[in-house]
Amino acid sequence: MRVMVMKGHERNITRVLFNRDGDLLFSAASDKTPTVWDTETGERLGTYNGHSGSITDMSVSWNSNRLVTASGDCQVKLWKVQTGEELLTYTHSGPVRGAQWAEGGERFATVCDPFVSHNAKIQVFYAPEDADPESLSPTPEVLIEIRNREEKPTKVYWTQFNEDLLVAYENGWVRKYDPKTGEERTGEGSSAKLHEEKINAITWDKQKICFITASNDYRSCLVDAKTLKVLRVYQTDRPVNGAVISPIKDHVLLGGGQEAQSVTTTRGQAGKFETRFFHSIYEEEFGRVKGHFGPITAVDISPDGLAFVSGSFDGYVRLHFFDDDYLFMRDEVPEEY
Amino acid sequence: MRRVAEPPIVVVMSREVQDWGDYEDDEELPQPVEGKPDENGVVTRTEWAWKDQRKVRYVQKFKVEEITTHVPKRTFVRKTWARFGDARDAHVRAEEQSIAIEDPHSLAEDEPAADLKNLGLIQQKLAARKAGLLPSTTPGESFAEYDGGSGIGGMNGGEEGAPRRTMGERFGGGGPGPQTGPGGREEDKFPTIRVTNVSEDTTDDDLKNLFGRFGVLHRVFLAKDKERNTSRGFAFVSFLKKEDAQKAMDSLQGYGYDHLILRLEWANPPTQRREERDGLAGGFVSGYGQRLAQDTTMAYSTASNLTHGTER
Repeated sequence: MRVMVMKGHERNITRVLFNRDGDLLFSAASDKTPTVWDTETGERLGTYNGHSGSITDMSVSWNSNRLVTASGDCQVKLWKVQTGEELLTYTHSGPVRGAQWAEGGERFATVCDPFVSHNAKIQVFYAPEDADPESLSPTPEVLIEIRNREEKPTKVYWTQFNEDLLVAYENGWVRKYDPKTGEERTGEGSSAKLHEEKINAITWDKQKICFITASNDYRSCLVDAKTLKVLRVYQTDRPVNGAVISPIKDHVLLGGGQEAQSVTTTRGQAGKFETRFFHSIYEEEFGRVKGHFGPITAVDISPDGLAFVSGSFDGYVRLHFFDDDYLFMRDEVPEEY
Repeated sequence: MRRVAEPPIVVVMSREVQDWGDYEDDEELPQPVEGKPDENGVVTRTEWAWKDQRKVRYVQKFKVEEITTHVPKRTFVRKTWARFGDARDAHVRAEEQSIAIEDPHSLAEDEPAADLKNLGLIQQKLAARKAGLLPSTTPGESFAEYDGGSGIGGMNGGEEGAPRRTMGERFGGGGPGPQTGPGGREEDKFPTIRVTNVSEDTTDDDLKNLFGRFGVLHRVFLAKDKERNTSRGFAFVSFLKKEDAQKAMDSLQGYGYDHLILRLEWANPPTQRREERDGLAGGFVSGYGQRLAQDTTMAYSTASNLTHGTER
């Protein structure tokens, strides 16, 4: 396995992300500067300078022209990917936890924490690419307030064809909202408690038919997007911070590790700082890739399935290119089974 | 259309010049010499350097491959983008500092960085379940139970620091076959056939297809030439059941496969066939029985390097 280690960040990585073509790799960390890399050579193409707090989430539009970043400084910024030019700043009422482009790249949704007297909010902004940046409005198109202070949303996603907003909560729930009116969906398949603890990330499969969750309760679930039924559960022994579904194989990749506070109290090898490979159907772990010396905080797999990237609390981004013996490995069920 | 040269495939053989008579203090170092690719695309590069006031010759072999990839226009356009942000000001320096490409070989030797080849274990386990070797499906049971902790114990995140074999050991990358490696004990449990006179073009999958007809395979190991990645002419096929292996033995002995005639013989039980194996009669080309490497080419190449190394 060919590995590139990218040392561009000074603090823990919070998000790694491939664009749709897989040639650009975005990484965000707690150090204020999201960075874009060339996947093939590992060169740093640029940084997006302007935030004054740690970056919590980001999303790149389908044609890799626009990037939105969410930050702990209560701001969401819209960037031009090619030049690093800051197009607009969306000020929020609290630290922003998530930002996600809708399919088509016309709208994006954000989610921010409750702060002092403000409730947690989920907002949808209209920012089409061909519009003049001057004419873009920093006021949200849709605003959903979460009045229940006990419930903290962590991340927001769009379901297939932008039908719903899928919001993950710190208490393990996921709920769907109407992205046009902001109303919470009711009825079957509109909400579910998937985990006992915080959901750290959700990743879709290629067709957005199902998604995989990563949670602090040591589990990762493969969930049907329509019905929110749990299809498969991948059990580990540490909090899972990131999970992805391989686009070419029946495999899922989980990244995790012990909580940051207990890292220094245990041996390096005991930290479980590996990316784990599970068979998505048999729920069996069959391999691990190690290399980080801190808990893995984010994973992503390239759209062609030939490479995967992991970011860690140690501040390094590791880009792994699979060997042929993994890619050509046959894993069909034995005939007699 | 792009041209990508991929340098490091085979690394190093370095020899220091030992002869004190060769010392010359103000001697100039020769320029590095790089040969032309041979028929396998392997290039030899020779460099000289001073080390502890001695002239040292480094010989490096690597394979050059030309790869043509087709990329979408939009990604090609992105290749021409100017650097921006922090990368613009110091992009040369940043390039040097920001990436490190790890040598996969050094990783493979030190520790198993990638343990991705265990998927066969799932099949193996399912097959064993079917065959009644494993009692039932219990969620969360680990491979360790099945393998008696023979090295894959660390897999399911159970006990830390359980002995783990490196990839090379587990898959017989260095040795002539699975029996001589540390995995010998595990292999003994399964009836294994040694297949010789396999043609160069044969792949693992071909053998799986050929032998898979007779029953569930435990594993197939095909010895490969390291540089060219082609078959070296022999393979080991282990079955889960003795009957299946016997069937394959009976049917495929002398089977004409890809212009050659296959020859099959039992590879394990070591106790029964010791006399046969240790002598020349066992069919081992090295003549020293199975204990010694069958691939004498490796020994030859080391020896020739030695002589190369001492000359200037």
